[in-house]
Amino acid sequence: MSGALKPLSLLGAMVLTAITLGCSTIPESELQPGQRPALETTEAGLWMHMDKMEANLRKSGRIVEDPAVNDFLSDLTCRLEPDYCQTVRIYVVDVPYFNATMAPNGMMQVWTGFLLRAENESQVAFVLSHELAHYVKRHSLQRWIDIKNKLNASQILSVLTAAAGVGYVGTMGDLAMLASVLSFSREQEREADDRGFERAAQAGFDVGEAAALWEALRTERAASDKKDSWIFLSTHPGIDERIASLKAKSQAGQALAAGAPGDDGFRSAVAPHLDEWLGDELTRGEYAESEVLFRRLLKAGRNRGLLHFYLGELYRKRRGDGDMDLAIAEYRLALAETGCPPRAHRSVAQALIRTGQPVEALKSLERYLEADPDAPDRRIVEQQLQELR
Amino acid sequence: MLRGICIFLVLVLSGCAAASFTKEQPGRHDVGSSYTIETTQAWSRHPGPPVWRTIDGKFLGTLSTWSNLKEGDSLLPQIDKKTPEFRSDSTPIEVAELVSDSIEAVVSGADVTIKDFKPIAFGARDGFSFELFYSQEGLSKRGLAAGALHDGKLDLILFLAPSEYYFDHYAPEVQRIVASVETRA
Repeated sequence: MSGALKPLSLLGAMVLTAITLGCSTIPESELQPGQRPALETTEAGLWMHMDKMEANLRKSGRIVEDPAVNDFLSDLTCRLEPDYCQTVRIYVVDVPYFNATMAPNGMMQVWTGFLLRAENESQVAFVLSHELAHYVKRHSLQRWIDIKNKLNASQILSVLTAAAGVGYVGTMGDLAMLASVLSFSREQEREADDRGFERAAQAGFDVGEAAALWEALRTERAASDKKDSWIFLSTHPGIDERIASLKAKSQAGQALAAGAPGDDGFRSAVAPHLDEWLGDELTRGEYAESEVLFRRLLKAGRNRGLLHFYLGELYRKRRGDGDMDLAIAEYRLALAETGCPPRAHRSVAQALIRTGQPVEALKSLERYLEADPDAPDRRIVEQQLQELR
Repeated sequence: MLRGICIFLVLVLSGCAAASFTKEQPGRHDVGSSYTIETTQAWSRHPGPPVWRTIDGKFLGTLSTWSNLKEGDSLLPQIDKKTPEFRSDSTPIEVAELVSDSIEAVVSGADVTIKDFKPIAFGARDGFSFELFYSQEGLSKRGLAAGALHDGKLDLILFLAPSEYYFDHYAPEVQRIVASVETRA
């Protein structure tokens, strides 16, 4: 996965090292379990700034604190890398884009946009395993030394000055640009794929799910009219190459491991967040991508009431030709399912008003107030009811 | 290429556009051609778009105003992603969605909650008001919105401030401003 935030973290390390150090040698050895870098090293400076970034992250107000989600991810990490999991801190960050990152000091970020897109435990495992491989292989340090040896101090400080204004999570444009400056090399990504796949397969996860996740992302991305919104793809080898490679590994790995996707733990952990994360997904305004995603999650058997409701929201907000009719159809499907929020009645009423069906709209608004008598918008809905009568 | 990226980032992130605030004395002020408001305190006015005012600074309270927003207009300038647009046939409920979606488009993870959504008089027009609650990088924010739909257009006043101290401190002034609206025919 991409280090969308990792570049920002790496930039912090430049403060210490950009001017005072000359060329450094890129380390070849893996990080040992429990190992911390010696204080006088470039790596120690990098870790120190990662620690500062981590402190900022904890104060960001963007961390999902739910123990069920965090325990699920921690347990998964320990299954994947039992020797390292005690030194890895996982933060679930409320950002609706697909991404996960691993900092050299053991700080892992898992964005909610990734958890929304994963269908099962195995898909989460392969992504985490890939990130853990970057950590064990010390790729951030290697990349940083490589870059530092190529840039002069003024170039580094120019980027650093700019980055200081980005903050913890800047706009997607800022992040994409910074990521393009300091992304992992293709060779490092391949290495992380290799180790990550091997560890996940050894831990018993379904080896076919790694390629399946990327294929789903490829389909989602193909629907986009704005390809650069996929920050993780801007920092990774071609998606086609990755899928082919993972499929080849999968075919070889099937002889070694016969894992299962492992749905139950993952789905139950994230289920309470699905409403919020689906809503966050729509705030991206990338409706074509979101439509593909929501349909995929429906097919995968996720909460039908919520997914039909959010498909209704998507069509109602997109307002293309025929979208209001599509929205009404989705709301009605949602309302026939358990798990549909009461506000679906209010939403379908707005779509019915738009399509010239005031009688049906009135009934829906009445049902909304029946279903949610303490609705925070009760008085404005009552006014709308008066106008419809 | 890297040099270009550096220069671009420095320019963009350092806010190279010169601030053009004007000190605005208490009194009645035009909001576009659609309505006027009356302030009882001195505000610093930024021409926008959208026009916004502050007393203690941008992060401690902003009063934004829109006049005659029409089909396809956004509350905020387009950024690097699609910004929600106003539709001329919107209902008040959809205006509240426009406001919350616009905040969520620029404040990732804001998770805006709307409360106390009710009809009010907006000058001579039937209007609406609602409160907003959300989080911005760990800081609890609160807002008050008031507006009216007329002839397929939207007039809107939106005050946003940290929940702690600043919202309550300026809420009386903002409520006076909303009550002072005089609409033009």
